[in-house]
Order: sequence, then C-alpha cells, then structure tokens
Amino acid sequence: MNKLGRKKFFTVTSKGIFFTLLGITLPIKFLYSKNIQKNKINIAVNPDAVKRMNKV
Amino acid sequence: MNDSSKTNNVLWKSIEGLNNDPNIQKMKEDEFLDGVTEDFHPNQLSGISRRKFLALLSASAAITATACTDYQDKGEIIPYNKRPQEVLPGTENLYASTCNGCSLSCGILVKTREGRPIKIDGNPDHPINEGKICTKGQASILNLYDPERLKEPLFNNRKISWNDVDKNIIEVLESAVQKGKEIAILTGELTSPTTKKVFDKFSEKYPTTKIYSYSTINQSTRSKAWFECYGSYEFPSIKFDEANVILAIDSDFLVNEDSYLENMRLFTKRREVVGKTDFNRLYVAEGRMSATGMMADYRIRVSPDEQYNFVMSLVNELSKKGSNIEFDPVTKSMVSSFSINNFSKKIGKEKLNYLIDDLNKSRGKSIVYAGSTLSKEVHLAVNLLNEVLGNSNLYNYLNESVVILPQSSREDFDRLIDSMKNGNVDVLIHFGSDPVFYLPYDFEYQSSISRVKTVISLSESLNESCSLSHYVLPLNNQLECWGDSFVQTGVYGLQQPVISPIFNTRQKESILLTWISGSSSNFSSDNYHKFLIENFTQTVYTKLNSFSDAKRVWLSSLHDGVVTLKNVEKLHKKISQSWIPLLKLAKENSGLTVHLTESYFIGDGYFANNGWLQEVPHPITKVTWDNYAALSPLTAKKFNLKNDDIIEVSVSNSKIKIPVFVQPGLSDKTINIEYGYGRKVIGDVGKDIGINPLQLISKNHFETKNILTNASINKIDGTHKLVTTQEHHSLDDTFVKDFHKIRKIIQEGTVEKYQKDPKFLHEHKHELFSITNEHTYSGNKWAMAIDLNKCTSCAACVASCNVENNIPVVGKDQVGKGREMHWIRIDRYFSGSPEDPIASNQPMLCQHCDNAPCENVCPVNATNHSPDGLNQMVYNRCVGTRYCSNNCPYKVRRYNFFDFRDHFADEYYQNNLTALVNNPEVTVRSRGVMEKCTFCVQRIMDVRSTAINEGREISPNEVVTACQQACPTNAITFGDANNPDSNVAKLRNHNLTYHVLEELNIKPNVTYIAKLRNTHSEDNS
Repeated sequence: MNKLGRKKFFTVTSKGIFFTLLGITLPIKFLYSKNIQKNKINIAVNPDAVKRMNKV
Repeated sequence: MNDSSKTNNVLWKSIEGLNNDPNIQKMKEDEFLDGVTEDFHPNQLSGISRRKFLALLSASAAITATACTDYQDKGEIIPYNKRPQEVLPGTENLYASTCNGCSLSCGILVKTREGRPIKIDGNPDHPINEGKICTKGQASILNLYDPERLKEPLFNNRKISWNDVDKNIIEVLESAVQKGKEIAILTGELTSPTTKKVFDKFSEKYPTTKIYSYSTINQSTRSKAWFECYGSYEFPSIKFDEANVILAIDSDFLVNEDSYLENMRLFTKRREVVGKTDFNRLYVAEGRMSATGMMADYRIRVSPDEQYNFVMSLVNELSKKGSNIEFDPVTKSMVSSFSINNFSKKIGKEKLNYLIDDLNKSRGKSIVYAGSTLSKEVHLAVNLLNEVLGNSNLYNYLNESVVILPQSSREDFDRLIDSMKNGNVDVLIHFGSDPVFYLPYDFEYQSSISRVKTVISLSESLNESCSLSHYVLPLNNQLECWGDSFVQTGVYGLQQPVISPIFNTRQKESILLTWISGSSSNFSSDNYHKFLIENFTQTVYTKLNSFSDAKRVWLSSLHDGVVTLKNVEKLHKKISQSWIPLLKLAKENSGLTVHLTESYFIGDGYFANNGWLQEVPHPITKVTWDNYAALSPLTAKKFNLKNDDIIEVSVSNSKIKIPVFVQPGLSDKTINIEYGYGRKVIGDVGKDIGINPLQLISKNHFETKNILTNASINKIDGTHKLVTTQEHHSLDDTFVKDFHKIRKIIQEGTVEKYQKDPKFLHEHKHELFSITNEHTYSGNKWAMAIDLNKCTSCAACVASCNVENNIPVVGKDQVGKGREMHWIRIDRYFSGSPEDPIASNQPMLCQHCDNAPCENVCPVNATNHSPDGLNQMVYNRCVGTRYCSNNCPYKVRRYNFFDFRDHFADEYYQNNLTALVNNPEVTVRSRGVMEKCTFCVQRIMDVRSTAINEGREISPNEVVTACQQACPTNAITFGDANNPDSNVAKLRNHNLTYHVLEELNIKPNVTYIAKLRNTHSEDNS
C-alpha cells in the first residue's frame, strides 16, 4: 500500500480545502451581489417642490 | 453669596462627587480598564514550532483568499448623465418646509444632496423661530431613514395592496353610515387648517363621523384659563425681551415648553454682554430642576401642588402695595386669605423679599409665566397677578395662539368608549395618533377596541395602537409630505416634500381624500397637493391682496416656506373677576407629588426610536437611554435610596416600578418623571427603553394629568443601572484639592461687579510666556467664542453636530464605558448646596489649541496643525494608540473602539437606507481611529472654494459651523480671529473672555465669555 508522506498529505489537504471553499464562496458571492441590487433604495426628487434660490 | 469666587468655591458634578464617593475617585484615577496596563511576559505564552506556524499561516491565507468576497461591492455605478434638472452632483439644494416633530411647526430649511435630505436647519425667514430649530428637529432627519419604518399597508399583519385597502375601507365606511354607526377619528393636536378642511369634507361625506383630539403635550389649561379671564381661547405670546423681571412658575419656557425657540431668543436679548449690559432678572419657582431653572438668577423650590397657594399669596402681598385693577369686596376678602408667611420658612425670607420687591419695582415691566403642565387654577392666579402688576403691555396680541381643533374633554372620551363597548362604533381611525399608549388606563380604551368592527391605524412606524388594529397604513415622513401650519396669528407656514416617498406610503390627508371620493381608482399621489393649493388660493391668497396671480404667489410662498399675514393687534380686555370667589385655598397635600414632564429629547415618545436623541445626555442629569424618578437628596435619604435603586411609585390605584436618580435642587415633596419612554411596540432602538409613567394617570386626572398628588413610594429589591455622562471626561483633578478653584474652569461674576469694574475677571491673571518662538498665522485663523450667558444647555448644537459629521450611535453599554462619540458635549457643574445648587453650563469641544498637546505625542503624525489654525485629524494615518486622547486636557477626543455602525443593535444603522443620511462631505470613520471636532472643516473648505471661484476674500462671518447654526440663542460665534471685522475677533477682546485651563499655555482657540448672574448687591457683598 502506498503510504502518503506528510508533505504530500499536507499539500493534498490544503488544495482540497481551497477548492472546496472556492466552490462554496463563489456562488455565495454571486448571490450576495444580486441581493445588493434587490436592496437598492430608489430615491427621487418631487417635481412640484420649489428649491430655495438664495443660499442662507 | 453669588460672587464669582464663592460660586467657584467648590465645583461638583454629582452628589457622589461632592461626597467624595470612592467609586467616583477610582473612576477618575483609572483611565484604563483592568488588565490593560499590566506587564506582558512572552515566556508565559504557549509554544509552537516554526514549521507548524508556517503551515498554519499558509493554510489560513489560502482559506482567507477563497472566503474573500467583494464585501464593498455596492452594485453598479451608473453615471449621472441623465440626472434630474434640479440635482447637480456635489452641490446642495435647499428647500423650505415645516417641521411636524411637535405642534410648534417651526419653519425649516432642508439641505439635500443628490436628491436626498441630509440636514434640517431653521428657516431664517420664519418670524417665530428665525432660523433655529430644537434638538428634536435637528435629529428628526434620522426618522426618514429608519429601517423599521412601515413600508407597506398591512391587514391583520399581512401585506395588502392600497387598492384593496381603499376598496374595503370605503365599503366599511358607507356601511357604517347606512347603519347609523359612528365613525370615530382620533387625532393628535392639529396645526394644519387644510387638514381640518379635509376632516370637514370627510364629515360631510360620512355624516356619522366624530373627530376626537388628544395629546399629552398641549396648552389646554392655559387656553381655558385665558377664556375664563378674557373670553377667548387664543392667548397672546409674551414679549420676554421687554421684561426686566421674569417669574417662571414651574415653567421650562426657555428649553422645553410652549414656543421655547422664540422665548430663548427673546430672553437672551437681555443677556447681552457686548455693549450696554441691560440684564433681565429671572426667578424660577419650581418643584423639579429644569433647564430654565439652571438659567435662573434666583431659584425657589415650590412643589407644583403648592404653586396655586404661592401665586395667590403673591397676589395678596403685591396688591397691598398697589394694584392695577380694583378688587370687589368679596374678591378682596378671598385674596387676603392667602398668606406669604406660609412660604417664608420653606423658601427663605430673603429670596422671597427680593422677589416681591423686584416685582413691585418692575410693575408693567415684568411678567409672571406659568408652565403648561400646571392646573387651570394656577393659570388663573397668574393672569390675576399679571393684572395686579399691570403687565398686560408685555402681551403680544399681534401673535396669538391659534386653536384649530380644541382638545376633546373627558366627557367626550367617556362617550366614545361607551359607544365602543356597546358596539356603536363601526370604524375607528387612529389618524397619526397612538391613544392606546397615551390615554389614561381607566378609560379601558385598549379593551374596548376589540368591540369595534374595523380599526385602522395610520402611522409612520409601528406603535401600540397599530398592534391592535386591523389595518395598519404606512404614512409618509414629514419630509415626504405636503402641508401647512397655522399656530400663531399672522404666520402661515407651508410644508413641501423634499423627496418622493421612498416606500409604498401615502400622506394621511391623501388617504382620507381617496375615501371621500368614494372610489379607490380616484387616488392620485397629487390629490392633497391640489387640495392644498385650492385652500391656499381661497383663504391665504385672498388676504394678501397681491398683484400677482395665485400660482405665482403659491410658488413664491413655497420658496419662502412661510407667508406673513397682516394682523390687527387686539386691545387688551379687562379681566373678568367672576371666577375668583370660586377659588379657595388649596389643601395641603400630605404625600408626595409626581410631576410628569415631557422628555427633552424624546418628546411624547414619537422620537423614542431615534438613536441620536436617545443618546444626547439629559441637560440636567446627563442620563442617556433611560428615564428615572428624580428625587431630592433629602427625600432619597429619608427612604434610604441612592442612584439606580428601584422604587414603586403609587398614585391611587396605579403603580409603576422605576429607577431612582438623586437630583440636587428638587423640592423635597416632588418626584419628577419624564414621559415618552417605556414604549413596547416600536423599533429595536426604542423598545423597552425606560418606564412609561403615563400608566399612573387616571381619567380623574384628565385636566391636570401632569401633577399627581398623594403619591407614595417604597423601595423594592433590585437595581437598574442608569448611564450618565456626567462623570466622564472630568477635567477637575481631585489629587490637589484647591486646583479646581485655581484652575477656574468655570468663571462667573455678577452684573453689579461687572458694571463697577469691567475688568474684574482679569485682575489676578498670570502672564504666560513661551520658551519657543510663537508661530504667526498670517492668513485666516479660525476661532470660536462661546457666550455662557446665553447657553441654556438645550443641546441643539450636539444634535446638529451629530447630523453634520456622521456621528455614530453607540448604545447604552458603550456610553456606560465613556465611549459616546459626541464631538461637542455640554458640561454641567453645580456649586452651593445639594438642596439649593447653582448650575453652570459649558459647551466643551476640541479647542484647536495652537500648542496642542495631542499633536506632539502622535507617533504617526495623524494629528497635526493646519496653516489656518485648525487641529487636523488624518483618519487613514491613525493607528489607534490613543496617546493623543491621553494627552488632551479637555478630554474631547473620541475613539472608535468599534465600527459602531456594525456594533450597535445588530447593525441596526448599517443598511442601505440609513446610509443615505450620511453627509457626503464628511468621512465616515471606521474602527480604530480617533476623531474629534474639526470646526466643520468641510464648511470652511466649501466657503473657501466659493470665494476662490468668485475671486474674492472670505467675508468676516461667512463660515458658519453646524453648532453655531443650530444654537437658538447664538451663544456660539465662529470666524476668522485675524479679521478684525469678524464677530469672533471682537468677542475675543471682550473683558469677560477667558480660556479653560489657560495656565497650561496650550493656547486654545475657543474663548468663553464668563457668565454674569444678575443678583442683588446684598448677595454680592
């Protein structure tokens, strides 16, 4: 049976964690950006309001 | 007795401080928390091998890299090349409008940036408030951006469309009329004549409608007393600027009652030290300690239930020396039954003699003014006293109060609730009001609601009444509304929306107009706007006799925000004396008296969810985030009570449990509790903050609901931590006892001493010299002057600074640790005895010292000095050593221990909506940086860039800081000290100027004008 050395073990483990987390976080990032768009607040000036011309 | 050296004898901030409580001593000594300054031993740390460390480091870095998201991604940036015509990015727009925060309806100017309102200030064209608004008005902008505002209409807690709401409610209203069932509308105090017209139209369309009006804060007793005396419910305003002597009877007329903005301005006109000193003299007779009481030259402790006897005794005493009116024999005999000797022992003969003497000498030039919380009898007595003294020429009949809809009586509410219980009320509409919270408990309003077929609440945010309603309809914020106001004759205010409704909300009048039209399809967002213009044209335009057409006049009125109507001054009528014999000597109250007063910053509870207002320290006690029962030191001692103890206050059948605060200066029989707290149904910020004392009021107290006699208290187990800021940021040093006398943080004098020797303040001044060459500021040199004669500790400057500079809300726990982030604070010192203290207020902010001790100690040069005299703060250089704060003798530097927007109340204010309130000109600071007052550098830069563009110099008084703009009494002056024409340069050379901790030779650029007390010469010797 092939014994996996400590060095290789560590390399494989960290690569595995890296790609797993990438696979989880990328979709979350995509969904989060979409959420920001949903939570946008729309503001608008009332067209009938009269602005002050002279500064105080 | 009130000489400057004697008032400066012992300065103390609290009862504990005066008694050298060891806890207070410890707090002053320990600047740092336990454990922070202990030594650090590397040998005691756990071991890890280098290989393991590197492996863990690389794994962590890999995981972190994968976890990184674009958390700063706020979405797409869209270029503003298709912008609305009115909006120019980077420049502000101003709109005139009217504030609806309370019934004063002050004129406001709303500053908007890129279409969103960011600051509210007073409208200088408005003749009542003249460019100033109160603390509540300043901070009210946060209500527009409250994330827990109602956004959609609800039916039984489920979302419903407006179309369905209108359809269903119109059906219900028509059915109620057909069946002859009552439609009840409950509103607060009405200030808009156009809203009244909407009510009239509604009553025409649905004839079974009845309108009820109720508010905890109102002038109904004053109005009723005026009617009994003079036959009119509309009473005049007072010319406080013409009064030589003012006697305030339990009236906080300067800071929290009636038309206080106008009163503050008029009162402080007679507190000028520039030019001739023509000071008025203020006597305050009160049971509680109010901010007006703190301004008094003489303060007299009289419990509110004794005020009637006190005033009638003065009537008796002064009428013996002469009277402007004739008494008939019955009246004369009745008046003579009141004796001033009953008060001599309690008050002190000397003070009483001064008062009587001054009132007698100032006949026709004095005013006695009663508080709105007092009973009708006290107001009648005060009117009589003013007549005896001939003070009617101080009544300003050009500006009388206006009653649009009188308050409903107790009988009205009894009838309503009986009808509700009997099922005769089919529709109940809460028109922006919260009767479940405000109405006395024994009306049983809350339980009667279940008998009403359809209950509708119109509200901006959830409240107690909404929780019991079938329909909850969201309302526009005041900044999204059209409206008008008519609170004083001759002044018609206009309100316009400065932003279109952010959510799916409507204006309450607009909702009623849709129901009046009879069909949901008749709604338009413009319907009330058109109705308002129509009413304006019919009522106001016709009075103006203008040559311009109605539309032009309408638009120019909107531009100005106010229309001044020509008024004919009424003649003062002779006082009716028919009511006098009906009044008898009031029985002495054996128990304690509970005096309920409006909260300074929460109002009647409307602002309970406003974090800025919850965090502004109370002007007298400096308590934040709570209310309490204020007791005198003697009463507290009698019941073995100290701060934070919980007591049960009982009045008749009702009880509340509330923490105690020992307040110097209270009358021994008075318990003062502020209402507006104890809200249960509100956003997360205001929920369960404080105790609701309105539960003590029964319908028997309907007329005098603020004064509850025969109260009792008993101590119960447990404590409730009250958080105050008054021991934080202490300047006085207890290690060397006499230093607080020598240091002269507060310097005061008397008017008499100043008139004899204007230079008395600088008699013992030490010459200061420097061992280094002094830097010369050749261009602008910014400086500030604060006149302590005018500061009323109203804290409008604190609120204005918070809004202008994006100050975060930190919450009660953090305030308890001294971490509140206010860049300006108002220090309050007491001198004299705890029973009869003399209060001194001092706004404290960064002094922008020329030899700033904070600049030298910063290891990264994050704080340095600008060529125009500003102590600057560079946030992105700051690494948070806090050495600068350590070295600051004024303790004005504020450190961001957390990113408070994340830290406070689970990121309550960290959302897209509340982010809109931020001023784009001021950096929003994150965790780990120091901040402090910048003298509104953004305003200085704005003025400078305008001046450069226009090719001119900056005018002497052109730069106005936020605190200066907000201060209702103009106590704060800012400008260029190098320009001799500027107001600040003139004030810096005044005889009464001094600097705090001047002997440190750090050359602060904030100059204080010493307070003068207008006391008698016998007291001054």
